[in-house]
Amino acid sequence: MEIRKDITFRFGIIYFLAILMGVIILVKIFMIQTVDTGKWEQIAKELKTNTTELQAKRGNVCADDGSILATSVPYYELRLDLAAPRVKRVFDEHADEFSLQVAELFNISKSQFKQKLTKAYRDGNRWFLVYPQKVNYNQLQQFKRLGMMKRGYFGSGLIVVGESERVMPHGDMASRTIGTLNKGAYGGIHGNVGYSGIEGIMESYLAGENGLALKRNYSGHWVDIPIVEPKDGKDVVTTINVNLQDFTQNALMRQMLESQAEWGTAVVMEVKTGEIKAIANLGRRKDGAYAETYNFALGHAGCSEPGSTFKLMSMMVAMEHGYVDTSDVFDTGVGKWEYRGQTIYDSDYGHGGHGKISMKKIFELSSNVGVAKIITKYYEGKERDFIDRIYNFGLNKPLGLGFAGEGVPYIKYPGDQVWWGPSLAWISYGYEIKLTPLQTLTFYNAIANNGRMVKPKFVKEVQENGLLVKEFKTEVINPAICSRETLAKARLLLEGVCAQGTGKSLNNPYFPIAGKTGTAQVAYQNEGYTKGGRKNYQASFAGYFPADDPKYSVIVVIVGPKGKFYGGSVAGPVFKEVVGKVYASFLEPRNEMDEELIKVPEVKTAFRNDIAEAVDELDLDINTKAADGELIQVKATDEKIEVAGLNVQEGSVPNVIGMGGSDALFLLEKSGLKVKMNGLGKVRKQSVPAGNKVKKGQTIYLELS
Amino acid sequence: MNISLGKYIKGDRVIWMVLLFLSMASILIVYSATGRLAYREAGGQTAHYMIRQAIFILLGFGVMAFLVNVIPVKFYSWIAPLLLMITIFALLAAIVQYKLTPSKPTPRSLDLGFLSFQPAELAKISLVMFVAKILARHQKSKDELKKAFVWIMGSSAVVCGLIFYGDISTSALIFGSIMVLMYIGRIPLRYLLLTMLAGLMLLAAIYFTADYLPSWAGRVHTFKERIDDFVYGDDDADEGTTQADYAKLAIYEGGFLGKKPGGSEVSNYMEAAYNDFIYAIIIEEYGIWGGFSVVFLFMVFLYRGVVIVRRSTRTYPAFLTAGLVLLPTFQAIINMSVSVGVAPVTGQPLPWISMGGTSMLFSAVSFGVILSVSHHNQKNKEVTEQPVMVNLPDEDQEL
Repeated sequence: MEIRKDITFRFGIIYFLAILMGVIILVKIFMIQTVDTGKWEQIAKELKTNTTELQAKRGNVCADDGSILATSVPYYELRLDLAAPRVKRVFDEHADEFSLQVAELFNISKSQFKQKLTKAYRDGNRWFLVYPQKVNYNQLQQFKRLGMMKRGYFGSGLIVVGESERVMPHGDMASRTIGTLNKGAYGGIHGNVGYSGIEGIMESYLAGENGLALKRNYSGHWVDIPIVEPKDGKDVVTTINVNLQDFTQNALMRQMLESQAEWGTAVVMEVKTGEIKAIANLGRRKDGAYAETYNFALGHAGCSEPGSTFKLMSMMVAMEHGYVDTSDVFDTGVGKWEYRGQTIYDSDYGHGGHGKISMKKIFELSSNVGVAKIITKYYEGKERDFIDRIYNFGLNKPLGLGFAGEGVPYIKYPGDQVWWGPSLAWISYGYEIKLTPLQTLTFYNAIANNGRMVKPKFVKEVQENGLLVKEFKTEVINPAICSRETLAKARLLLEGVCAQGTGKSLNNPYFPIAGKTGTAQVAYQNEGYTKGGRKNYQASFAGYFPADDPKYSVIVVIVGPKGKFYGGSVAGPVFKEVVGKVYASFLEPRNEMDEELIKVPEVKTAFRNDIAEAVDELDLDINTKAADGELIQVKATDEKIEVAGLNVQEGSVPNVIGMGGSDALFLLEKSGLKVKMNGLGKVRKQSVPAGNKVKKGQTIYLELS
Repeated sequence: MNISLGKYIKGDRVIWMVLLFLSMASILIVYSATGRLAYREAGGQTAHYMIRQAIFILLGFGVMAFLVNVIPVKFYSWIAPLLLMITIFALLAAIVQYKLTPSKPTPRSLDLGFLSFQPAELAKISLVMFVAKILARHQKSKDELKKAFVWIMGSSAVVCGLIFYGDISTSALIFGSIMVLMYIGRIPLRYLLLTMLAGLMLLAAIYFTADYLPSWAGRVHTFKERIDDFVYGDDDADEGTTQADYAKLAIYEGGFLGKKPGGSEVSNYMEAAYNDFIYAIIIEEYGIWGGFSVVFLFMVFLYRGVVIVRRSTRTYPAFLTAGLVLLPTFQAIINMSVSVGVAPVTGQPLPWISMGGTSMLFSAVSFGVILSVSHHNQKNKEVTEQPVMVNLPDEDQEL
């Protein structure tokens, strides 16, 4: 009995000690709940107010027909937390199999990947980049479906960093004018603000408004609960015509390659509206190839001495003041004239000279001596009158287009420190001043537009889900830059240049053109006018057509050509090609009879629903339910209308021939291909044949017409 | 139905009730705390782990009913040495298996192909059975008790040493419980204090040399880290908030009456909410009253242990009960202490509440044995007020 009492007693002591522990625990709970609760409140608040931005989808930049010039496509960065407990648990056993699956998916070397993976694992890397490139949605899904990701627990370490990337489906086409985005501080995830080009000036429409969401954890899943829904950006419809842009860029490219020039630009503008139909800029990339490296047409680096194209302005001032008429005769001598210690040469000096000729002839032959003599004769001592009138044209002010880095013109004024003896003569034929090619074009366009100077227009309208939100009217800079008489004479001068002057080679038998060649000797960048004894030229041509009823104006500037350097022979061919194309595309009278007879319009291959909607709208007799498939193709033969279904098979390249550009882009990007388009209209050719196995990230080239 | 089931509910009714309440708490709280786990590993079926837990609880009650109805108490005394040998073998096998298979994450479990279990759970039962047997045999004189001390120390050292390799805290829990059991078993306090001193010195030595020990030395590094984290605060915590912080946040958020059943939010942020920190989630959902209830249930459980021991007529069942009651109680105290932050972080689950698998069945065996003893006591009482003299002089002492 002694033993039992002893045991019970001892157990009792332990029991009370246990109760004491229980009391301590309860007291501690009470203390946590009442003493120094700030820390817990803080953490709780952080958990509850943990917010994240919901990225708004950036609007598209579209061409004049709505086809996409720049769009945002979601991309993902795949990362693994290799220190995740579950990854650790299986790493040794399954790293090999995992490497194999990843290597197969991305077509990379398994051993190299495993080496990298193992090293990262040993380093305890919690942010391991699985694949150096960003992957599209499809690849992300495939990655998630890998056996080792699902069953092998590697999935528990997956971190997906989503980001949208700006894609230009037409590649380099007008890319400088379309513009770029600022990447921002965190490699684009938080940046993506429009910076240059149209992306920059239209930022407020394109950007949309980011939303706000609470990050909440529900049963271990992070869920974003939107508080403020994001507003997607609106689409911007530009004035750029894909077809013409493509053609202009190619024409310029051919000339650049031939002349091996430094840089060149070509711009097509619609006379009445000022709409920029095409704007090509080619400069040398670091590797020597030509590409859209800079917006020479309107940027400050393209702002240079215009040369002979400026003679038009000089002559117009003199005519406007009533000093000269086109028939007044001046002596150009042998093409060499000394003025205030400076010698002025004609470009064809050494061929005997032209002697006494009319002002019109001086202009047509582009005689420097002639122009300088005219201007110095009437404006010596009255230099201010001349420059004031030039200012009156609005040429001393930038166009105010809003583009980042827009060039600022420079025309010196008498009395300025830099104004010296022969300045007046130099300025008269386009030296000692700076204008952007686009400014010169704007002036020539005003001549074509009956003296009404309109601002170059890059954006037609803003759309939201295809509906018009805002339309941009043509802005008038100056309703009449000169008198009717002067205007008529100026046009006569420009027509003369192309009829019998330096622009004669640009003539064509179908419609008259008007314009002015320019050949300026320009400075190498920061290296003076000559480099190694070789002169650097700027060849240009500015003009409009048809001369009798101007519809389009064009400027071509090519700087630093090797070999030929005259405006007519370097810039001229580009002008001629572009003019021909524009005429064929827009101005040639069409035979409308043929179109009347076609009862069924040509239907692009497209999604069934879209076609059905259009068919309803137009009240056509097409049964869109006649075939299966997500996509359908409508073929109209003489006797009947056929509807064929096209099914897209997972993993194989879809057939996009006959489809519109944006539908094709959507479909191909969805199956993991990168798309490059050329042309406008319906897809005629695809570089990867339909039915081929899709290789992720492969580029497919589409030809549209 | 009730009556027919009631027939098998033998032994201490209060303990049955305590276990029933704990089971209910377990199912509710496991459901709340496994959301994250369910999403990660069970395809988002949040009831998955609750159902699993309920099944193990039912199985556990089956085991208890079986033991209390079928197995005589004497059997445990008889099987104890054999069971201890199996335990030691299983512990060794687990370590060997860990060394041989690189993919095995821990030496704690033994994979037998058709099932895997933690030999330490078996050790808790077999060591107590064995120690109780030794103690029961050596109550007659001081010399005998001294001999018992040597035996117990020897066997515990082997078992706890093997567990120590993979799981320092469980090893310490078992060893500590055996020490207390020896105290109850009248081993002179002097020996126990000396042993405790030696044990503390060993832990201190490990703590201070942990940085110099090679990596094969098992969990010594974790051990030091945990102590440091407790004393100095966790420095490499995820986003500056540790598991222990989240546990305290849960306790703070729970307040007086708690959020509501299933209303736990903090558990979503915690890695081991269904296990090591389940007590914090209980408080978050049921408030300080929930916390008190759990403490109260375990104290009732321990109290019933004292009652059973007092009613025992023989030493072996008394020591057996004391050991088997003390182990889960201590484990519960440690778990709760960790959750509220009065002890360093250790991976001790809350017995019968935390989500478990085979460990639930081992717990059920302990409870079954305890119930068997109480049932045995009641039977003796019913038959005759006088204790029945069982002629087993070698087995244990009559009280």
